[in-house]
Amino acid sequence: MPQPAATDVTVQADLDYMDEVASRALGNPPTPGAPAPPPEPPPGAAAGFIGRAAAHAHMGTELSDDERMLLVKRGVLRIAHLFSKEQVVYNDNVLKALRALDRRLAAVPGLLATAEADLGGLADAVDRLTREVADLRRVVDEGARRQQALAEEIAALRAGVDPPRP
Amino acid sequence: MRIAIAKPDFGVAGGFEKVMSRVEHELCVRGHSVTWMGVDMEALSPVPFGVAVPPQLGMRAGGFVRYMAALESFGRLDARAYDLLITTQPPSFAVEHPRHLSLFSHHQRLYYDLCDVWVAAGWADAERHRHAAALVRRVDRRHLSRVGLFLAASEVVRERLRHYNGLEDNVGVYLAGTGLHETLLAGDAPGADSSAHVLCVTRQEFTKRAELFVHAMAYMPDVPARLVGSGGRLPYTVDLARRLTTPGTDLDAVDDTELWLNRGVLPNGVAAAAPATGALRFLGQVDDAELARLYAGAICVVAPAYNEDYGLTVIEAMSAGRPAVVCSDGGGVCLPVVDGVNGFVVEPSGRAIAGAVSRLCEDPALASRMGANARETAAEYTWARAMRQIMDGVERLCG
Repeated sequence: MPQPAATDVTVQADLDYMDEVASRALGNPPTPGAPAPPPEPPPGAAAGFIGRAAAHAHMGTELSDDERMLLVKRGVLRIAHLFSKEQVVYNDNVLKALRALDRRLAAVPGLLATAEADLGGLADAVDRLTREVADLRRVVDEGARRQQALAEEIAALRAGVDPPRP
Repeated sequence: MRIAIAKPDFGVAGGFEKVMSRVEHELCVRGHSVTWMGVDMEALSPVPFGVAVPPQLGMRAGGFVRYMAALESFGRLDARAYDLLITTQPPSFAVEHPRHLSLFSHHQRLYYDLCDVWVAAGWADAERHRHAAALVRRVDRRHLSRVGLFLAASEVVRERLRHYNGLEDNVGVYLAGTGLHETLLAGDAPGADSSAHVLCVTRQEFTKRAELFVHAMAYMPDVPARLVGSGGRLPYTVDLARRLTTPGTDLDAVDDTELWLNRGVLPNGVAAAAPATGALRFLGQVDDAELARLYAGAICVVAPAYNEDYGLTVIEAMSAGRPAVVCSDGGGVCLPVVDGVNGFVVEPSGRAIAGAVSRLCEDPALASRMGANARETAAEYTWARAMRQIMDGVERLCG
């Protein structure tokens, strides 16, 4: 049986995505087994991409001594250098920016973990405070009851000492 | 009444925006309060209806993804606090309201009446685009069926609602003016440009077919011509003018694909400079005063667009007492034109347009007679009538 061409597969994948969007637009729930979006690059993949780009950042500006027709190529490179020197500066700076971003991004999971831990500690503190407030409330309620009992006792004693006048 | 007007915000102020500003003004004058509900079309969700669309699909069928995202955004707008909802361009009709008046300018035309030419011009892959069109129509049908009353922007748009959506009973028409055409009708326009010329006023975009005007004028290289308007295809059109007027060019051998049925990519990738002088001059955008002067100095006005919703330019030209030359497949631009009475309806080709323009150039009495008839036709297109049609619609919905 003939295999579908790669382009056919791509078209069918696109049509499936469109079908899923339209289906949900019509109010239907997500289709079981609906095509998932393509996987995100794994963590750390950016470093690999940057490394590969860095290997070519000075492309064409350096020649090894093993090159054939070395002198001719050097001549061509000297002329090309007039135009490519700015490009090399640009490439280097883009790489620097990407590495800086990558370092910042690499720190994000750590920051998230710290924030998560802090949030966990905060939740414990809130629980503790809630318990203490409840204990305090019980003490206050008990105090109020005792105050009421004492007031009634005093009123009864007063009634015994000062009989009502006619 | 508290009235909400829902409208996609494209960040531009074109003809339809002027129409809606006028509608707002007229509603306020009648004592209603008007609130705009917009969706920023530049800030749509990249995840329409929660489906993460692969970036590659965004490139291959970006229009579909954006349309669905816009549809979702409008569907989330809450207009319950208002007594009446007026919706405008697609897909603003996705907002729900029990008293819903749609001033229906047009469908998302790439997926309806322009579907085939869009593919033929090479803008999209046929299989994906036709599939997207089928889905858009299915989704639209659900929302359109909930609209209380449609006022289509022209008879052409009304016919499209019948043809594509089976909607007929709750569809009326309102015919907007332009503001400028009322100035022209009143005779308040400034004096004419010194030289008589053939005029074309259009945005330089796909299916507006300024290219046909350029082709027509290449048959008459000595007749002064003015092309007003700018847009994405302007560099292409300028280059086309240069190519068509190159000596030895066989004008009859140039077909639609070489003229307008393409993506407007420059053959050599380099834009030619717009010629500052010569018979055909590209004027770019001009203000209303300058446009009025150009209408006043025109022998006739050519409106070569393909399957338009409505023909504001034609109404303006007729208001200035100028006959219009339109193409038989022009849709709404043809509606006010009675062939041989107030203008010419010709087949969509440069040669046919040139033939009609030649007749008017060579016979000033004919041009004058047709211009007078055109002015009479244009006098029917008043804002008073448009607002009566709209207010009748409001009355019908709100009792």
